[in-house]
Amino acid sequence: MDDLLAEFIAETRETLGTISGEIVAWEANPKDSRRLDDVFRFVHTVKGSCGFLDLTHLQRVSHEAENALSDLRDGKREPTPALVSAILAIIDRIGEIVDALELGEEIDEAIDGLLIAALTATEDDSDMFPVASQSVAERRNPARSIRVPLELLDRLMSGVSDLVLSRNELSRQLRRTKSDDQVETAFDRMSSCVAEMRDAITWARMQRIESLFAALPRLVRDLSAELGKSVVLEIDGADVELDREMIEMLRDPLTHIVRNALDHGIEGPEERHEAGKTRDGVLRISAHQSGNQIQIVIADDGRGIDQKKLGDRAVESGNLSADAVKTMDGRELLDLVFQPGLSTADAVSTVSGRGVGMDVVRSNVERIGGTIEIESVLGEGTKLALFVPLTLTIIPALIFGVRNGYYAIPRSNIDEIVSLNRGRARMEKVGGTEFAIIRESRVPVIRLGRMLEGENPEGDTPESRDDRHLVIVRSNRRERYAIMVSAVYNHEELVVKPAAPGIMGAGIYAGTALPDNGLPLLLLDVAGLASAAGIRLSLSRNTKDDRHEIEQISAAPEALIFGDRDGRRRAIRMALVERIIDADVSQIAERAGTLRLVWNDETLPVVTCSPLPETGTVRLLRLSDGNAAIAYAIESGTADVGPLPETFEPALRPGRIAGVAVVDGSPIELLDAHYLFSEFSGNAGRRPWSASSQKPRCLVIGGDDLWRHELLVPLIEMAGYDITFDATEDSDLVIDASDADYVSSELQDNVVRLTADPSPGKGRFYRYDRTAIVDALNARLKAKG
Amino acid sequence: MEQLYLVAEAGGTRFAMSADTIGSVVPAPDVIPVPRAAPMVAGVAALRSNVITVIDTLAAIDGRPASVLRGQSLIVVNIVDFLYGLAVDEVHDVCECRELPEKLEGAFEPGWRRISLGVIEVEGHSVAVIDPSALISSSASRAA
Repeated sequence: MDDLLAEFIAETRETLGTISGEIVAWEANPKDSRRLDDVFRFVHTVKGSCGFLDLTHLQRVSHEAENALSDLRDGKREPTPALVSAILAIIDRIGEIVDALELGEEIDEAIDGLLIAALTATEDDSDMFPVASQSVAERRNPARSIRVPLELLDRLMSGVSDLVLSRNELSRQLRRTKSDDQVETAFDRMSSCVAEMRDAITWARMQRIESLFAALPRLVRDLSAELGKSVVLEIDGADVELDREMIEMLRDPLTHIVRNALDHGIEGPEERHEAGKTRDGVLRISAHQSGNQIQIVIADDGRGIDQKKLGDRAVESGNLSADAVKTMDGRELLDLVFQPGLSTADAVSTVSGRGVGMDVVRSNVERIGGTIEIESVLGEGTKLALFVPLTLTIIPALIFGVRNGYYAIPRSNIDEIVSLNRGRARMEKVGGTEFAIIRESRVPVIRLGRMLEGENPEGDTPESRDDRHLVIVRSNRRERYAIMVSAVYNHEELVVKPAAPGIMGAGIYAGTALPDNGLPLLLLDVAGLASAAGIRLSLSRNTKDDRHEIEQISAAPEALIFGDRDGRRRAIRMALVERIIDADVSQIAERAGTLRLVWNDETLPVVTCSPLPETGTVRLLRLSDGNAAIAYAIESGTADVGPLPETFEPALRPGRIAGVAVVDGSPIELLDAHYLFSEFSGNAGRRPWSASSQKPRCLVIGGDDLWRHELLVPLIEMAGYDITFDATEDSDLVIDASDADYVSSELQDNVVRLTADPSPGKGRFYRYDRTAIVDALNARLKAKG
Repeated sequence: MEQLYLVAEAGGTRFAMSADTIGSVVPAPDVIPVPRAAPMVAGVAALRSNVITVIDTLAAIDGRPASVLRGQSLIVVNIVDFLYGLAVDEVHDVCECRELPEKLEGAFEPGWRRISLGVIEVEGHSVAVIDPSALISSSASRAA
């Protein structure tokens, strides 16, 4: 309702500005019925909106003005100066009331009687009410929001993107010349201004996802009527904000998914009744932000997808061989819905099932850098989860080299990077397709150099120095493949722009960008590349025997293992590492009490365990918890990605090190990221709770020790709770991380359930879903008052 | 009605282009090849913090493999919100012409026919007027 009111206020105020001029122009020429119509329409609109918004007072005032205007239109009354003034006064009054509404002020209704009397007064007593026009001059100016055309916002955004690019170019030019402190200070200042502006514009373009969901109730109503079904729509998280361009891009896929759910998912009332379900089907749509991704889940409680049938269809259509289908497990079979031309629908209906299928939905989602996942239980329902980035235009990407060229891939598509030099993968050729065997899992390989430029003219063998790294990418959780590249460079945030049609037509590019080196760069489209290379889902499979083991490995979190500056091997959770930065020492200096790195548009607190050298470059890890970022200095030697060791010996005291584990026979220390962020990120806004001893107490049950001590507890403390692990103590809130519903359901209201499963069921949170956990804690804190 | 034309030369042939669409003429910076792009696309290049698509004008006309060298003249045009650099051997002059281009399509070779709007008289010579947007459009029509 507040939104509607705000919109009404903005719209009314905007029209008000022009309308007074219209009415004066009309007074000068009473025969001009077009102007009169404009004024009438305005007053009529205000009256209509007031009725809708339940603003009875304003409605009455505008109703009287409308009557007078209607009489004028019909020629029942003459436009005397007195009448025109009275109408003007009413219009001014509407403006005042709108201002008061916006500020939430009391509206003085007493003077409106006089205004209305002036309208109905005859010419004879025109002097009974002095002409009210002075209020125009003293009209308050409370306009705190204005309406701006979307094109202007888009222009601003592209202007700021250009600004970022120009800044990068300037930074390049500056680096070539001798450094001058004053110039650099000025440049740093400009950089931070540009960064700020970019944030502001990005924010201005954010729109509540509500506008995407708004059309759904009607769609569901119309469709269920057409299909003779009864469906209840539940929408959650409509206040999540998303770049408006993303919202537009999601409109079609979402509509399609909803159509599918209603047509194929949810059964008719009779069928549901027979299956022992409620007669009304339920369609749940929810949006939820985690980190810099938005998750949109569309779940129905319909008949689910018959995986066997899906497999049979795939064989019938010739997409897969019967043998291949036999070896596939449930998830893999389900993923077949994303294959072109596959549907389990027995009949084509008017609503869906006409060829435009889930494959199009998937490619639409992937085009905006998102992923889509499906879960379905036969007889119980289907759940689709879309993960999309917050914004389109600036994409963190990995830059790599292929022969003599450079290309980039969005970071969100990259699973891991494997060096072939160190024997961590071996190549195998089966049936004309090359595979890489990485930790016993078989991944199809695209030799990008050969694909893009043909056979190497020098006739290099496949194992030549040209192809030294495998970048493992996925366009979907199951569709993984490897791109063989010559060199891996760095991560950079790229301002990506669409490329000309002659380039996009190739089907393998997502756009162009200008990175820091000033040479244009092409961003590869991971899904397009796979289809151009002819890689099918069916090829991307694990070897059969040890599949179970592999699943375990891929489910374990990964760690980056590196040499620290004091010579020790240390590890950090890979998820926290955003990128590796090689920075000149001159970019790091003590500012505001701590070492800070000035890098691109930001300053990062620097953590180092031994003094930095005087000159040269330093390698840093940019760590991010989703909001704050810090840089951790490391030795420039090798850094490997590997599975996070499952067991850690916890450290004796809290500090930078959380614990130690043994990997390949040598000890590895695990950094305590929560400690680093709380100590160094600077803006860890602690609540005033800490001063009071009346903190509510939170009981934590279950969960492995390392995790609950090192990761969960700081979160809870920051939210303003005391912690206890003793189930016999009284507590205001219970966090149950046991995955086994340790706490009985009587305490429902006070229980937050966490699980190690990244896609938790209803009423649970994934234990690394920081935002959701903190929100839940805060919500319960607030509920207590 | 007077119309300004830019007269340029590529592969020994002079041609003209309406000056309305032309942003600037610059020497080509480093051109990064784009594998698998349309045949007349020589690559992409950076121009004042924009990425432009570099078109080999000759390749667009006669279908030879696109190749643009650093320093070659690029006529920068904006077509449907994309910037293109049309590579030519030489840029001669800008001239005025009062008459509309005269249609002579039958006389042109197919490659020229696709991209030309007609012929104008410049300093006593006949010069073909070409349409930049035909130059950058996909080769599909030519392949057919």
